[in-house]
Amino acid sequence: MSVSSLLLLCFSAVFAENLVFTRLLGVGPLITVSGKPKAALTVGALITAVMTLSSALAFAARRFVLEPLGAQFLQIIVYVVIIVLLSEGAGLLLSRFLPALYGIVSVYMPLVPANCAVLGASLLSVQFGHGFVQSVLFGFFGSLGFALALFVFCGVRERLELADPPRSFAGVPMYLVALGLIALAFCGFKGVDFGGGSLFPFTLS
Amino acid sequence: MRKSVSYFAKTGLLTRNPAAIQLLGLCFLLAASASLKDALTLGVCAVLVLVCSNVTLSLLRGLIPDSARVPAYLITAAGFVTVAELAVSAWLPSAGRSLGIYLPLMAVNSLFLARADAFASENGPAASALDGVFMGLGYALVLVITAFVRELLGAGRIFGFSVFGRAFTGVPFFALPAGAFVCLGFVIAAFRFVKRKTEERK
Amino acid sequence: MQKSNERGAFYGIAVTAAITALAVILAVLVNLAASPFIKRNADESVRSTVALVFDGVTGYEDLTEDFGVDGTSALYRVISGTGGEDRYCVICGNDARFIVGFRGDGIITAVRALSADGVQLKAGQTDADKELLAQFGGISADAEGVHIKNVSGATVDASAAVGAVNTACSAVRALLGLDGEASEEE
Repeated sequence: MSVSSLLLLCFSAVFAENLVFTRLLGVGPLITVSGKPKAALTVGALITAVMTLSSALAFAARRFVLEPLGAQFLQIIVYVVIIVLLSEGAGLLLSRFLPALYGIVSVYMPLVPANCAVLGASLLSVQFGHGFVQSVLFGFFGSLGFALALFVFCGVRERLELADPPRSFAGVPMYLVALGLIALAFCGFKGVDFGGGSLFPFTLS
Repeated sequence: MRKSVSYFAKTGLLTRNPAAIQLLGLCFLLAASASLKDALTLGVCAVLVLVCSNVTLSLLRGLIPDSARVPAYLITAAGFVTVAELAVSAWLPSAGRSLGIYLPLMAVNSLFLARADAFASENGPAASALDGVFMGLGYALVLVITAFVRELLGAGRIFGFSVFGRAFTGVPFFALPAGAFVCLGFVIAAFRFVKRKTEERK
Repeated sequence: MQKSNERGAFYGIAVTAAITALAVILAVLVNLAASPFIKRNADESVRSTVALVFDGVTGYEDLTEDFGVDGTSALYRVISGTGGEDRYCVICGNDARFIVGFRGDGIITAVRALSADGVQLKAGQTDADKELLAQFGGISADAEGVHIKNVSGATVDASAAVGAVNTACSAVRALLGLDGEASEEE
């Protein structure tokens, strides 16, 4: 767990393993919230906070509660409870201290727990066998990757509004095709070699 | 306000298709549509979990306050998805392995949340079960169609059987995440087209 | 629906807690029913993965807890029906997995590329890949570091393979006590 392998992890969480463009998670909230840039910023920040904390708590829950009891099958329920508690907590804090901002995003609040990226980051950490530091870093940088996707897509969407697609394609189908092209660009990160082995040794799995 | 079975079928499969029209649970349509086998497994799980979740939450309707809606719906879905995951690991292990994290991830599928909120919380268990069946089938339908296109174009196979032999072994683009986005976009556009034509005919 | 909105916040928490408890009970019951099958499937999957590098496998002993190092996901002592010497295999890597088979004296017998779910990678079976992986045969675990000629595989990355084999070697070195101390293996 050297510093360089941790840096590699952070970089790959944002680019090569981008939760949206490589792992295909969090697409729902991406499309829903990218129409309103101000709300998008807040929702992105909330998701970052919830994802990082939930990665930490999920690791702790798995290591100190589920594994000793041999109850790994309860992982889904436990992780969802953690995410839900953190989301509700974040919502409460926001409504208490920044009520104007909360007013803008209150419609989008369910998107914070109910998106695949938050739970997905914790589950990926389990699959990769991450330790505590790695889980938290993966959660944090993974959410930054999501924020990056949101930022890029907000801009793309503005341009798409000016386009004139066939009627059936107007709206989400067009957004999906645009996201596909961006995803193709992100594929380029798969071939990056840092001297310690490329981030994605296999081209297709 | 009795609705007939054909009403549920029509809305669930086409006019209010949860994937193509309501745009719920898009992540799985992208991730699990790489192969038909994955798509079918996930689709069947989606139907079963949706029916169970809808019926359970319909029975509990009136007991769940507004403030606890989202947590309650998510945890119920998580419970049934856990059951599905255990069942798949026990009796369909290769399908479970190839789905990877995407089966447990169904716990946060907005499909379950949205149907619970829009339907099961205000209707009886029988109607909620019907809604669950047809909305689930509609979701599975989009998933399977997308998977069919992606597997055929991406690998020249259906269910792992090579259809064109050596003449065409697929365009790798469709197996990539980028291909998933594009295919799904086309499938949704196709659904909308069919929906519009059906409505124009009336 | 009006009635339920007027109850306090604690009611909401209580309802959520009750639903969680019910979900947990359901999961526990299903797990009781399903776990024998799950265990059997896991066992079969390990056997078939180990069979990629060894023949005649009748059983295995999981030594991952005791001897696994950072980067290895599994380490098994392989038992074969013919009662020959002990053999070991190590599964390394996160996204790109490799299984490395060792003889009892620490010499590598074979390396195979695995997908994330432990099945042999179809893509990793082209001639170029086989040539790459065959270079690891015969290397001893107590070598300082594994070096091979710079051959690149079609889909298997040479540096990933080297890294995985190095990790496997370090695990087996610790297991067999090859770190400069002569020790007897059974």
